[in-house]
Amino acid sequence: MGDDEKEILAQIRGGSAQRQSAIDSLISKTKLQHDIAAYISMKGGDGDDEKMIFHDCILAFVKRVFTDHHFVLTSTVDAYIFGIAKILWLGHMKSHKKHLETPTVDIPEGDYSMWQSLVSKKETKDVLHHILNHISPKCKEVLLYWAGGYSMDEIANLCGYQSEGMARKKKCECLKSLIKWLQEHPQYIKELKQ
Amino acid sequence: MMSDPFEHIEDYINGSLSPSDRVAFEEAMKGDAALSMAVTEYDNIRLIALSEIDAEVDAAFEKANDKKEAKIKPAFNRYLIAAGLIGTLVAILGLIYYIFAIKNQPSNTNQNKLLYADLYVAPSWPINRGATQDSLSDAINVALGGNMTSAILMLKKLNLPLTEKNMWISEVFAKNGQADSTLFYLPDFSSEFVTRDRINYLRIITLYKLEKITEVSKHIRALPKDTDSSYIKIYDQMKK
Repeated sequence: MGDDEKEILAQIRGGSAQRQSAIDSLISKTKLQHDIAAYISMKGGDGDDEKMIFHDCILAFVKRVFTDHHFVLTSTVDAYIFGIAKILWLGHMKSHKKHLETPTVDIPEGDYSMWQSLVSKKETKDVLHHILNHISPKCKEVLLYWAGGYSMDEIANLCGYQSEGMARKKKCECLKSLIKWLQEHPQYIKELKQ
Repeated sequence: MMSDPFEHIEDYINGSLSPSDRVAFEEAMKGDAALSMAVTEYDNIRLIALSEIDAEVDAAFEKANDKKEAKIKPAFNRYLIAAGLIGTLVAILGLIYYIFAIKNQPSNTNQNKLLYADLYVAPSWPINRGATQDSLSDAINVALGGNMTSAILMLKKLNLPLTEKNMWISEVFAKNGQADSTLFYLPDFSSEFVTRDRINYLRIITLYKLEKITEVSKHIRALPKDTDSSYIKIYDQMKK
């Protein structure tokens, strides 16, 4: 793994500003975007499909790196994301029962579900977005790292708390606050389950 | 005894609590619906918390799109402004051309306008009057043959009264449609009725040809009352 790759993984797992910078740099990879667009177009997708897959593969990549702390790149970032794009496109074709051409790469079935699970459906996304709007920015940050499997030491460091204990206390406070809101609005959990 | 059970949710789910702590945790869940929900909805709560990444990626895409639009918009606006200026310029030029064309369009240019050829009636040329051998006839012949320069020279050399000579020169030019020259040589008047009427006639139709309508009207109004009726008919046509 090259220095650039290490840098981008560190940024994604770093603080909010670093992660934002990493996401911006991924989005601005015009050659990657064109390659993915050409692939989707070649496979019968349209302009909207190209945009959707590019968005989703960036999102899936960032989420995977953020949540899998042992994840290492075995190729360049561009090649890896292009691979995700192919998997997501095949998954999209399957789910929409479109004509599925023989994949040019051999993708294990498990990979479809793993990558697709990182990309929320539109309906789910809307519900999540609504719930997220009722969480304070600080709680969003703490809960994000908690959900991403970060240790309390790491959370304290990334979120600027003086100690692991303070981070733990904040996490519990935020979690209780979120659960209280969900108890008051049970329809959202119901919708997520659906 | 464990501290806040909320701190041990993952440990309970992972099965890493000691047996006594596990029992204590389960006891706590019985009396705390929020703790119970934290366990049962653990996956959904993580999903909610991780959706902050979705929000960050979405925001970054929106920002990138805004930047693209911000780049495109000024260029598009410049294009619109340029197109607008060109359009305005074309419209102004079109208007100027229209006004110019209207202003310079002959005021009597209409479907009823009579052509000079419609109005012109040839005189009784000397060649048709049996005087085919004299110099005047020769000159007229040359003129009617199309050689105007020679004809005019011949006419100018004729041993005739100046008024009569100029009258024939004028007639030749009138036949040829040369309005300015017609008027130049046309005598002012003649005491002889036929010639007088012919002079008035040539003046009027030549002025008409030159589209000097006011002068045409003025001359028609000033015609002697005993003007030949054949000319009066022509003038009536012109008035229409």
